[in-house]
This record gives sequence, C-alpha cells and structure tokens, in this order.
Amino acid sequence: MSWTTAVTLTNKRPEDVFCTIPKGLVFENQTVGTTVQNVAASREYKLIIPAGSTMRLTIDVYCINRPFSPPSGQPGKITIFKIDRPFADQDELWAIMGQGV
Amino acid sequence: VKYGHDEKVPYLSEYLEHLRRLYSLIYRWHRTQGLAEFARRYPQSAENNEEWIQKYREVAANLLPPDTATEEYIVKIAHQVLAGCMEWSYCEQIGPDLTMASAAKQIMHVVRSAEDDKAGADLEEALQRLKNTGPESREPHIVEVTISDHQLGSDLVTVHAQLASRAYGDVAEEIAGTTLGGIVALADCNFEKEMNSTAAPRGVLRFRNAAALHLEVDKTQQSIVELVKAGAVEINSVELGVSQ
Repeated sequence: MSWTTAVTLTNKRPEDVFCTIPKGLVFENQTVGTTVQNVAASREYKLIIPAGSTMRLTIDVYCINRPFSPPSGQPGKITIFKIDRPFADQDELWAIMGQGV
Repeated sequence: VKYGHDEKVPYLSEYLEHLRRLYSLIYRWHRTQGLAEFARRYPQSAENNEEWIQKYREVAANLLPPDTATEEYIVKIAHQVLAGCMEWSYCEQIGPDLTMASAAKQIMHVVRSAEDDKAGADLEEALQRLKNTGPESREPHIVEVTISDHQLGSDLVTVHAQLASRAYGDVAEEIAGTTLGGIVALADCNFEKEMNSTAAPRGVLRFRNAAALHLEVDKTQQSIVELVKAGAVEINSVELGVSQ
C-alpha cells in the first residue's frame, strides 16, 4: 500500500514562485504521542505556483515510524527536517530510521 | 544529590540557615532538658544498658552547635529523632506549636524539596544541551535523563512528551505567520527508539538530537521550507497519509 499527503498552499507574492519539495522532507502529526506514523516525501517535486494562487498538492510519501499505526488523513504540518541519507523504498527508509541506539 | 554542599548554588547559605534554625530547636532542647530528662527516665543501671540508650547519651553529649552543623549532620540527627536513639523525645514540645518530630520532619521536607529543585535544574540543563538546529546539530548527540519516582508512576508516553517539548524546544515552530513543524517528528522518532531500546536502565529516558534520529534541517534551495520562512508561501493545510 502506498500513501500520499495532501498539502494546500498559497503563493502570497504577486509573481510566480518556483518551489521544490525535496525527497525525504518530513511531514508530522499535529501533536506528540499519537503513535501514528509521521511521513516523508518519497521523491522530489518541482513546481511553479502561479502568482497569488492557492494549490492543492498530492505528495507520495513513505512512513517513518515503523512500530506506529499507519496514517489516515489526519491533519499535520510540514517540518523543517528531511531524512539525512538516500533511500529507495519504504523498507530502506524504515531501516535507516531504525539505525543507531 | 548534596544540594546544600554545592557552592555554586546561590542560596546555599539561606538553605543551610533554614536547616540550622530547625536543628537549633532540637539541639537546644536536648542540651538543656533532654539529657536530664533522659537520665530521669533511663537512669544508669545494668538494666538500662541497651545499645540505643548508650548511643543517645553519646549523641546528645556531643551534639554539634548549630552554627557548625552541616547539612549531612542535621539530616542524621533528624533521622535519629524520627527513627533512632532520639525517638524517645518524639512528642516533646520544643517551640510554639512545634514538636520534636515536626521539626525533624520539616528538616527532611526542606532537604527533599532542595533535592527536587536541583534534579529539576539538572534535567533542564541536560535537555538544553541537545541541539537540533544550527551547526551544533550536525553531530549525533544523546542525553540521558533520570526521571523521578513520581514520573515513573505516570504514563510513560505523557512523561516522554512533556520532556520532549523541552528537549526539542530549540526548533522554532512559528515562522512568518505559518506553522512549520519539527518537534513532533523528533519526539515521535525518539519515542520509537525508546520503545525498542533495551540499553537504558529503568527510570532513565534518552533524548537524541536530530542527527541521531537521521534527520537534518532542510537547506534545499527554493524548497517549500525556505519559501515559507521567506513569507512567499503560506501553508493552508496538510493531511497526512491518505492511502491509495
């Protein structure tokens, strides 16, 4: 099963804006301790947001917290973080997140 | 934790003076009335030769004057009043509305409160050493915190969440009017590791910085994060994990 995250955003500038969503950018739950998985973009996205317009993006994501429940469309936030190394698929991402003490 | 003996603590003298004021009441009573009252109740004889009786005579005769008594010594005497060789004087009135036992209990309370304050300050200092943004965040770093007996009795998810909000408090959330996250991801990833960890002893929680959780601050040029920070783009909503 694959997952997506829907992001609605608005370009507040009077000119078009070029925007990148890097692979591995993390999207998180609204609150701590829900034990529902947070997610990360599974590939890079590049897009132009027209001046002053609002867009709804659908981003393919992988889950990052293997022991937690799968997400189910709950509200979340974009974070300032991305995964710090390359990954090819869901299993590789889970393996990365499971590394270390 | 020897709070009263840490010279860095600014109110050490006030703390010790508080203990000494309480101790002086115990000291004064035993030096002025206690020895005589004890001799009346337990006169020297072959029958009154139990170990605690001998010990009381020795302790009472050698009580340190309040102005030289240390925190450890005062605690030791309070223990003797509550459950030791001075327990025979437990109910004696030594001040207005104050018994020997209540003075000893107050000493123990003052010491425990100071220990709690010190533990709280140590915890805060430890959590604030965890850097999740900026140059110091690039190396993996883990801090261990000992949680209190009180916290051990609570739901661990809640305790972890409370401490995580302090450990990851350096991640700014409100930028240019838009909420950018990070704290929840760090806290949840850390909690996942704590759930799977068998290394930490009971009563210890470990908090990992972003690098130790395989996360780094996104610096991609013209990334959505940068555009939000610059105020060019506003995030209206995010819905996580719609299945396909």
